Amino acid sequence: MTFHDLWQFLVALIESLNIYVLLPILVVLIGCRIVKAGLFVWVTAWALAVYLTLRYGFVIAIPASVLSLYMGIVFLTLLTYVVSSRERWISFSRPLLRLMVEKKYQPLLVLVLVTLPLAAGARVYLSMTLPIQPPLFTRTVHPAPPSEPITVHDQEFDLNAVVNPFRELEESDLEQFQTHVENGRRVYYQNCFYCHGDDMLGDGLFAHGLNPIPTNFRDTGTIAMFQEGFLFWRIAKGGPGMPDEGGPWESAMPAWEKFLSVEEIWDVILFLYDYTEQRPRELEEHGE
Amino acid sequence: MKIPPSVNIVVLAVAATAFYTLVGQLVPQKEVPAPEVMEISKDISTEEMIEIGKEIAQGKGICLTCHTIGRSGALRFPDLEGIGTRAASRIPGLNGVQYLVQSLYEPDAYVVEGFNPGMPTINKAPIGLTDDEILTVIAYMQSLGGSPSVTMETKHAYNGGGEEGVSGAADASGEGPAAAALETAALSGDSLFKSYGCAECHSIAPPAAGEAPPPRSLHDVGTRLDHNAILATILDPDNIPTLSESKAQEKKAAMEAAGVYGKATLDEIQAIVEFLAAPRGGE
Amino acid sequence: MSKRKLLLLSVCVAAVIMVLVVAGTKVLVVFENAYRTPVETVQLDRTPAMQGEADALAAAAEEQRTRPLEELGVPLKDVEYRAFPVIGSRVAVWSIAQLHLLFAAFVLAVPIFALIIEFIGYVTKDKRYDELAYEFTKLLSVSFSLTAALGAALTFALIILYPRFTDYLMHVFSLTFLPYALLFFAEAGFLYTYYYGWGKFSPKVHLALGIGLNLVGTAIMLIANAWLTFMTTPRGVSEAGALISTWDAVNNYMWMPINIHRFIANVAFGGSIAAAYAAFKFLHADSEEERAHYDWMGYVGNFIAIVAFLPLPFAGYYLAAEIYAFSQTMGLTMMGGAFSWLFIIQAVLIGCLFIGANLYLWLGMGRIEGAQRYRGYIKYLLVVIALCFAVWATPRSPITTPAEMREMGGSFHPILGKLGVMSAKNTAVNLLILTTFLSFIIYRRSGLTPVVSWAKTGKAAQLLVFIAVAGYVTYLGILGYFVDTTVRIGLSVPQVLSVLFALFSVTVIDIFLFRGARTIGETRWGTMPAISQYILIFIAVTFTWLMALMGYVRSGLRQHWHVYGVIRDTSPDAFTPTLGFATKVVSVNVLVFFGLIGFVFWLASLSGKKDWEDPEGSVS
Repeated sequence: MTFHDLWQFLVALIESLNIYVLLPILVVLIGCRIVKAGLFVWVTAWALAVYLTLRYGFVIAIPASVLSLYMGIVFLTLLTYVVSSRERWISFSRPLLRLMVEKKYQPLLVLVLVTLPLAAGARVYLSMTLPIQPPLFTRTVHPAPPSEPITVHDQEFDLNAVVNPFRELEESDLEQFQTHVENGRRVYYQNCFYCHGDDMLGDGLFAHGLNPIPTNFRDTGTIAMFQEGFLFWRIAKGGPGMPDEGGPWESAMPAWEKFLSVEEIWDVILFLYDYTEQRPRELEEHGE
Repeated sequence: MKIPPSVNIVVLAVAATAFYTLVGQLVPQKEVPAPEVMEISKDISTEEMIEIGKEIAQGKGICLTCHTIGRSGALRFPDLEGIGTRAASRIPGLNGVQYLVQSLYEPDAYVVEGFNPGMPTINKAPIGLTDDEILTVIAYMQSLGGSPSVTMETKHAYNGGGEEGVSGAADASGEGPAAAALETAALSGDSLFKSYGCAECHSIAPPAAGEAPPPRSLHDVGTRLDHNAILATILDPDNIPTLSESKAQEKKAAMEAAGVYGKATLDEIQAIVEFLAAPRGGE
Repeated sequence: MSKRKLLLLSVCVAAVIMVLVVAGTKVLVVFENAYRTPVETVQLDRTPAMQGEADALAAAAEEQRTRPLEELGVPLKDVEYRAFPVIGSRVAVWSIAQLHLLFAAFVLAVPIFALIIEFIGYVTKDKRYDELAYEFTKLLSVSFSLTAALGAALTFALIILYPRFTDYLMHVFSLTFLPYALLFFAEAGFLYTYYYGWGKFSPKVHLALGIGLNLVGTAIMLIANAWLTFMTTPRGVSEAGALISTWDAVNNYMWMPINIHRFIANVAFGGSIAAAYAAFKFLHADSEEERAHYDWMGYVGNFIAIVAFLPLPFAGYYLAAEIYAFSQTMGLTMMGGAFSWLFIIQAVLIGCLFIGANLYLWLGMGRIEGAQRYRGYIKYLLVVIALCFAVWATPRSPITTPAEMREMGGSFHPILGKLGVMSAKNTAVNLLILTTFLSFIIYRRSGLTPVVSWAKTGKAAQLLVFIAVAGYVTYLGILGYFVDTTVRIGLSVPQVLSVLFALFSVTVIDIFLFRGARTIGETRWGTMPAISQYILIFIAVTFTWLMALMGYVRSGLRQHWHVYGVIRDTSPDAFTPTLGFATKVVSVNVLVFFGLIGFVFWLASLSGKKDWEDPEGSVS
């Protein structure tokens, strides 16, 4: 562990917080301190502050089940604090007692007595009339390619054995290789970049309308994890050729074999790796 | 109006218990059934095998309690994504099926680098999968990033197949050589010699002093033939002068079946030739 | 007073209205889609179907009457299982065993600290301690009979409901039964002599009796532990189950860790039950002296419970490590598989325990003059406890709705997922222990001022140890995110060791620091607010429930095996039930236990009552 790691962790943590929610909460808490609020106000303020922080303070919201767990702990803690000495208990319960017995608070008391049951009722009603949500299927983002050879332009390709025919040029004939890469660049910017983006971040013009979203090739968890045959299959067969486990949504990727020649597909694959400076997965990678 | 303390105590005890019971109801409620012995018929398709194997891996095989599929980072056990392709190249000389078989029946025989041994023997209690169930699990494993070559008929060293069975599996699958063909650089002639099943018939170890070498031994082939001659006998058994025509046909068929002609690349055959021609003891 | 009444009244009114509104809303919503029976149905006296049912019943009765024995289908000795009516065999054995174990734990624990307290009384010549020890012992005799009765019931239940399996266990452990029975007699002898002989012997003889009682009790526990640990981590038998070595079967993987874990947990549990007894007596006390006495007794009981409780997580580590050593599969079933959520429930319980224990200490500061100066620290301690509690209770993959899952992009929350791992949880537990210890240290010194010359240095050293250890534990916790699995698992050892070091060194410094310290505030026993006594009872309930829950996981871990990997459970109860179901059974068991222990308390309190007098007689 280095300080750099730690620093990155802290940055990630801060980035995941919603600063516009946290600042007002902090201001209110400081305000409570300045006006020397009573224990009752403090306890209420803390409960609300923690709730709002957990509920809205994170960019990616905390699941409701965990939120209720945390709030249970918070209530238990506040209760513990309030009863931890006689003085605290008296100073906490005094406002409540006054609310209940003093004449001037009677309208407020009535209001509370009416609101609380109504709120509880509303909560029950809401929890019983939840909109029906579709179940979330666990989706295999990168399903296994078919075991039978696929046919593209009347040619058969065994996906377990196929290699990019132009990959070897990288070693033997760099100039030829560059022409293929350049051809791939042309293919990419004529066809692919609308969705996959001009920097291959999967954020093209159309990306926001698509579900599942286009692949981000710069992510080291995508093309670097696959052999070129896998990419060939995905490009040639597109969304329509996706196996069931890639569901439940239909990928919008066209079956490019209808538009591109075999050579163009291989070229664009070369370009994908070249541009993102990644290497295809090699079979030997795990050999001993 | 004073509530007696004993009533309070009872209320408190019941309330605390009720609260903990409530907590118990809030967590996911999953009942784990006792696994049942599955009858798997011998004539199911590969797809059905994968389906059943997946169910076993998630259920009674409890594979996925430890192993993940498609996760990376700090893992306690090897991730299984892509095992279908990786399996064939893990141990030189074992094809995909053989490697997976070994890792299920004898998990500690080979432990992936960076991990600790800890996998239970799958065909023994407490997991105790049957041989047939294990075949389906292998089919499922192979389907992860590869294509299953295993069938319900596959025989291997642990289900009565013996050594011959192993090569049978390799023949039936045809996958071992296919995968091997893609990894020329990684494999030496030695392991190619084994993975193409040459070692099934040919011995290469020099015989002990005073003993006759076994038939078809190649331990001294390097002294008898030069590179080109060895290559010629591999590529064209018909022209081996010492073989009768029927024997030559037999040899050719065996080598064809092992994938020497269909799958092996020229580089690989060259590697085997180098290996055979190298001097090794004996007269 | 009228204010209080009004408060109570308005709360009642609000509660009633709330219940009505909630019920009303539910009824409204449900009623819309409810099934309604037809308004009118024609009732016939005798339909052909009814006739047919009656005939079938008569035929069945006739068949029962003439049933031959062979119809059982199997020879009697081959019967594997018999069913227990309504709740089923498993729940029956489960409940009886759990009750037996709870009482056994109590019976084993009370002599341990009765002896210690008696010894303190003997050394300090303080009569109070001797009385306290005797009062604890009073609870013993009835509990011992109940334990034995429940043990007998358990044996019968096993023989009747699981004949084949019981037969097997007897085969493996046949050598252990005679010593067990003999020890049981010895235990009865020691126990009753210890109890009835109180004050009748020279103190040394009586202490020796106490030691004998404890030794025999522990030996009994060791034997019984061998049986049950063998079921989970069998050893000394062949793959097919044939006995190879009885000693190996006894000394299996889980045996020693369970012995240690149970020994410590029994003390903690016994202490908390004894404290609950004191609380019970405190709340019913009439005089100031009684209140003072039982306040003190509750304090001592709770003190024993908490002191024993602090090292318990470490014993738990050891137990879990041995389970992993026996079988990774079992370890992962426990922590990552079917039982992983059980440990979230456990975290909630232990969190409640820690909060309760600390709260009791803080409330206790109310009866010490001069404790006000430490009041302000409470909130910081509480914040640390709450944070640790929250981290510990954070599930690795929480329950989510599909919408939430979509937002998180998987079942792990980017931030919370980091808290759900072992590194964070270990750190949280260690910090919880440290904080509770700190609470205790503060409590201890709240009425005292040290007089030794090096007081300042001593306090500074204690503070330094606390800060250094807390910092080191946190550092190791964070480090756990950046290193390999193999290294990470090893990190818990220095964490535990450093916390143990802190507990030990600070205590040692404390003892010398406050030697002959000046008392600046008297401890006014008996002036505790009533709520503190309810907290003691709450702690006892929580302890019992926790013990019952952990008993369930210890036993349930075998899943569909009677003896893991050797004897399979083929009964209808072989499945692992849901946690919801398990917690319900646990709750019922705990409530039954408290019903019985209430009976024990009542019996113990009888001896202090006046003799019955005939009201008529007294008149005449």
